[in-house]
Amino acid sequence: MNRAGEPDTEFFEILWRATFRRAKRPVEGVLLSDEAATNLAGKIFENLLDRYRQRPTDAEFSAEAMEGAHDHARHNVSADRTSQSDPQLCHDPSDTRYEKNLDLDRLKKKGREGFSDREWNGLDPILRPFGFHTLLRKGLGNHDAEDVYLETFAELARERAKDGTAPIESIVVFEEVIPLFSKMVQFRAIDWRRKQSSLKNQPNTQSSYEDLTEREDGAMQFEDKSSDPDRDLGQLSFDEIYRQCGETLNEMEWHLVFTVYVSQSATMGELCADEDILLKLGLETNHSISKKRRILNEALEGALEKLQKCLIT
Amino acid sequence: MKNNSPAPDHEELKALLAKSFHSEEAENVPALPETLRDRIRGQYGQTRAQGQAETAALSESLFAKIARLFTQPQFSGAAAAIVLIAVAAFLLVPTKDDSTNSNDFRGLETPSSTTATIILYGFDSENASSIKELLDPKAAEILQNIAGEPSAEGATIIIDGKAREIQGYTSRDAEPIIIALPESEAKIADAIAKMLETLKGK
Repeated sequence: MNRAGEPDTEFFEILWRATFRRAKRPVEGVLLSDEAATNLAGKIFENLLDRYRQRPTDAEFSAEAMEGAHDHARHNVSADRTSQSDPQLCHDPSDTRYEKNLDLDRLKKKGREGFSDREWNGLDPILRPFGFHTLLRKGLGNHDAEDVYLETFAELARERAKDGTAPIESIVVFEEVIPLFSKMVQFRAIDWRRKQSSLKNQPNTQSSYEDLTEREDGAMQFEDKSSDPDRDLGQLSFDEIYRQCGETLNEMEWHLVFTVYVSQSATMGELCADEDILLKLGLETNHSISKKRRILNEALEGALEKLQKCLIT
Repeated sequence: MKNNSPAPDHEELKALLAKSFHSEEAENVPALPETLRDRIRGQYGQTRAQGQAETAALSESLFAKIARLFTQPQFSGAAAAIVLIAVAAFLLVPTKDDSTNSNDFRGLETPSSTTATIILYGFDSENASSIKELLDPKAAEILQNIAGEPSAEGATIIIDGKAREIQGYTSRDAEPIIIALPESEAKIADAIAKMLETLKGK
């Protein structure tokens, strides 16, 4: 028995819809057809049913389904774009942030001189507005912003010492280059500010961006979304939250948080009537509804507090 | 009044948690394929078939569904009050003609009164508050004296904790319909829903 209670008979219907939506729009700017998203969601469900002969927790099943939709949808789009030589395939027509996709395969093409395909010429006009928007928002002047922007742009194609790959190689579909670049620019801006203050106060005592990303032991990947101190929590999906904070909550706490806030498959009233839940909360069925709700609220609030701390730290 | 609401800074987190599963966008999401539904049902033995789910959903009283919403922490009291009144109104609207096509709402006469007043009486203050909270603070009122009730226009439901009964009146002068008050507070909303349906049928 993996589940604390059984109040969620419509859970798989809800998860199916969420998985479909994630498969249809795995990242901003990518849009799969309904048919492709349906097929993918179906395969993900079948794979999970093969893997989990016994029912796992709803949170675990959901995180796997959502993550699978995100990964497979992107890789399927990438494979189709490559096979059909059409970088614009599955690009959301309503996405007007830039004119059209570049060919990511060509951007990733590495020659003797590194990444030198002419496709890179088209990347600067696409990334410049996003980079400058972030840098100006961080308070950099135009001249400094230009320097930081160019440093970050070069960083996209710079191979890291630790694994010999460049950040541009870490993305699967072209649309991901914008969030990747925006995050890198944010860290470059922080690094720039640190350099400025260290020059004023104690020169050469701060680690530079290169120091942190290139050192042999414990090199940091600043483009990784979880390392971004300014990251907007609103961009995280449930599977990312679960992967990041899975150990933070116990099974009961995940069940409560998932049931009430994520799938919303049971109400507080239904949970208060669930004997398994009551038992695990140290309650008895003959306790008053107000006491049950108070204890349940306290458990939920405690779980949310832990989750919040986990996401912030 | 206890303050059970989580800290305000959790609102963003709650919205974030809900976002992964619930989209505001109106998209045509296909139904879970029948083969998968069967497999899930066979393998995990918990999930109902869609048809069964729909049947169950239909057989569940409308008020019970709304009552479930009342207990959701993210469902605000003000919104709940509006929905409760709307549901009560819906249930109490007399059908013009049973044979009338239900899709044809044109020409439906507006009844003189379309809402039900809900009164709580004879409970200790903690229980009264929790039941009121369960129904909705703005849709039910706690009275210390019910002499002269029902006094409001339209239907009134009195939940009498002393007599352990629920009295339903279609109007001020009508004879009461009485059902037993459930032992469990959690089931009171369902009982109220039943009473509303009964009143509607009168």
